[in-house]
This record gives sequence, structure tokens and C-alpha cells, in this order.
Amino acid sequence: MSTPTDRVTDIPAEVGPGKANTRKPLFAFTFLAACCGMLVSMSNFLSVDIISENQLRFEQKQMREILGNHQAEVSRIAPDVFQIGTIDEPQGFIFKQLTNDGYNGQINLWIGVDTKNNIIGVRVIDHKETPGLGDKIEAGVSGWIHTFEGRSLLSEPDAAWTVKKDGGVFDQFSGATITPRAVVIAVKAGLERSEREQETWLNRSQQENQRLNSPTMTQENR
Amino acid sequence: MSGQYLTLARDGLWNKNPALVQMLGLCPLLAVSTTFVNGTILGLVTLAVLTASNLLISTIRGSLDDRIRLPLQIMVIATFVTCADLALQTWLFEIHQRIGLFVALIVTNCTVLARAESFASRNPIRASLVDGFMMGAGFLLVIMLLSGIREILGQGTLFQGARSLFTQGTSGATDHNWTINFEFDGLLLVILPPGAFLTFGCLLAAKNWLDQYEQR
Repeated sequence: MSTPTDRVTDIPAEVGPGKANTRKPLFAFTFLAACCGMLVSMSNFLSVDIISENQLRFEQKQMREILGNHQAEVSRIAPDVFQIGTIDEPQGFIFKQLTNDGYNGQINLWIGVDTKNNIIGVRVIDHKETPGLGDKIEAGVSGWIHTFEGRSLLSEPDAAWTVKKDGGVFDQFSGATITPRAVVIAVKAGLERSEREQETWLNRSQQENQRLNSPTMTQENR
Repeated sequence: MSGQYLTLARDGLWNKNPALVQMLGLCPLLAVSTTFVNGTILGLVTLAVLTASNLLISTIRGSLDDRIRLPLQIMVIATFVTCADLALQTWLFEIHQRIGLFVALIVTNCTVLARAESFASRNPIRASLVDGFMMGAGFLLVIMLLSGIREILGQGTLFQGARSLFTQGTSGATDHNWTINFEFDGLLLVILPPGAFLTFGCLLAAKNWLDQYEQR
């Protein structure tokens, strides 16, 4: 066994265009590209179901966190709206809210409200904010997201629904204002949406009582 | 025999440390070292990719032609990074949610290509394996140290986000919160990109000082 060397590559000598010279590396390259392609598609094949299951479970877990201790029944009444409580006695709604104003693109939220449109809880489903700065919107990183709990459009004046830097009531993070601002404004938009649509949601949940009363989400609901 | 591996270990961890001496892979090192948990996970994934790519490159080193060597190495590295990315999504989904952005960028970590090019493509399999592992370990140690220092000084916490490492797959949150809070708000500068350079500079100075101190 030769001793390992750790030297800088020599500059390759010019190689002639001879046939035998070209064919062998071409073959090696094609063969290895096929192997790499197979390896990647095999790992994708093995993991794709688990990953989408993880995604679904993560979303459900975030939703469960909003519900907290009371194990209420949750049923789906629209592609991105879930009703808390039974059909006859709705206790509130959880819906998805998307914002494009994040520092690195989309932030996807669950917003849970009761029937009087007070916030039960907010959770981030996914985001691409900078780790260590913007990711404090995650419940697992800091407690910031809990500041929404109990608030409503009536509890704060309209102008207060932003970060403190803009004259609002919500803390920004040191070094990151864009992310919390985007989340606060998205939550406000969500509340406005829920105010507009709660009537519709209630009606729909009565109508679709028969068809969609499964307490859990199914795969195609994503 | 064992002396050779000892040299490789000492090179990877100290004498030729990829970050502190070769100054390679600084992009992920400086970008992800904001919290200890993120940094450590990225370091571990880098270590795995580096070891695997060194192993494969060394195995096929006989058919590495000068004209195809570089694209081939990048292809092998990209393959392993993609697999690692998928594995992370499979087993550590919540961590991937947080650092996934940077995992794909391991392809551009020059340490990986540098070891494939300057070591694995011209050395036997077992030595390449040890070299990849030790260089990866050297990178891991530096990113752990840097992210630990930056998290403590910059945010006044340590092990922030460690909880999601252990709650993977369980529905409820665990009672135990791993985060240590120091009674200290943190210096914002240390968390921001310039702070990464400053902290890294201090680490470099410390390493060089230790080396000189040893010589005297």
C-alpha cells in the first residue's frame, strides 16, 4: 500500500483525440451517471411516501398544538378549513393562511379562532426564514407565536396589528423585522377572512354533515 | 499502518483542518452557525456526505480520466447530498424544515470536492475513508464550536430548538425543554453575518496562537 499523498493536482497534459482515448472515459461517465441516477431514484422511491406522511403528520401536529389540551373533534369543511367541535356544536375553526411577504418567500400558517373570532392559537406550518433570525416565529424556537392567543380584531385597534417598529403591539425580533411583520399582517388578514366567511363555513358544515364527518384528515386532503 | 491513520486523523482535526487551516466550506460554516443545534446537524450531514463521497471516488479512481474527473466528482457528491437530503426529510423532518435550505448547498462546500480531488482520487479506499471521516469531523468540531459561541453570545441561549430532535414522530410535546437560557439578551452583531466573520477570525487567531505556543 502506497502512502497517501496530499498534493495539488498536476495540470493534465493535452490528450489527443484518438478513438480509444475518448471511448473509455465516455463509457465510465455514462455508467456512473446511470448508477447515480439509480441511487437517487431509489432513495426517492423509498422515501417519498414517508416524507409526505411526515409532512401531513407535522401539519396535524401543529394543528393539535393549537387545540391544546381539550381533545376536540376536528372535521374538514373546505380544502383549507377545519371545524373544531361537532357539527351541531361548532367551537371554532382552524384554517390555513399563506403570506408571500416573508424574508425568503412563503410562510404558511394555521390560524385557530373561536366562533366569536378570537384567536385560539397560531402555528407556522412551513417557512424558509433564516435559521437563528426569522425562525423565532416557530413555536419550537421561541414563545413569540403565543402572543396572538386571545386577541381579535376588536381587542386591538386596527393600527396596532403590526410590529412595534411600525407602531403596533407585536414584538419584532432583534435583527429580523420583516418576518414577524409578515406573520402579524397575515394573521390580521386571516381574521378578516374568517369574519367574512364564518357564516359560510357554518352553513357548509351543516350541509356537508353527511359527507365529510371524518375526524381525521386523509391523504388527498393535502 | 496505524501511524498513517493517526496522521490522517491529526491532519483532519487540527493540522490541516478544512475550516481553520484550509479555509474551505466557509459558506455553510458561517451561514448556518447561528444556533448550536442547526450547526451540529449540518456538520453531521457534511461528515456523512464527505465520508461517502471519498469512499466512492476512491473506489472508482482507476477509471477517473483527466477530462471527466471533475464533472464526475461533482455528480457523485450531488448524488450523496440528494440522498442525505431525502434521508433527513425521512427521519428528521422537523430539523429539515429548519435547515433544509442549507443541506442542498453542501454540494458547494469546497471541502467535499477538495478531498475528493486531492485525496480520494489518488489514494486507496481505506485511507480515503479515514481521511473523509476525519476531515468531516474537523469541520463538525469547528461548526459546533462556532455555532455554540455565536448562540451563547448572540442570543444568550444554548441548545435552542433541541426539543424538535427528540419529539420527531410523537404527537405531543415533551415536558423537558433542552434550551439553556442565560440571563443575557445577546449581542445582535454576533448573530448577523459580520459577527460570523468576527467570531471565525477569533477562532483562527486562537488556533494560531496555540500552534505558536506549542512551538515555543
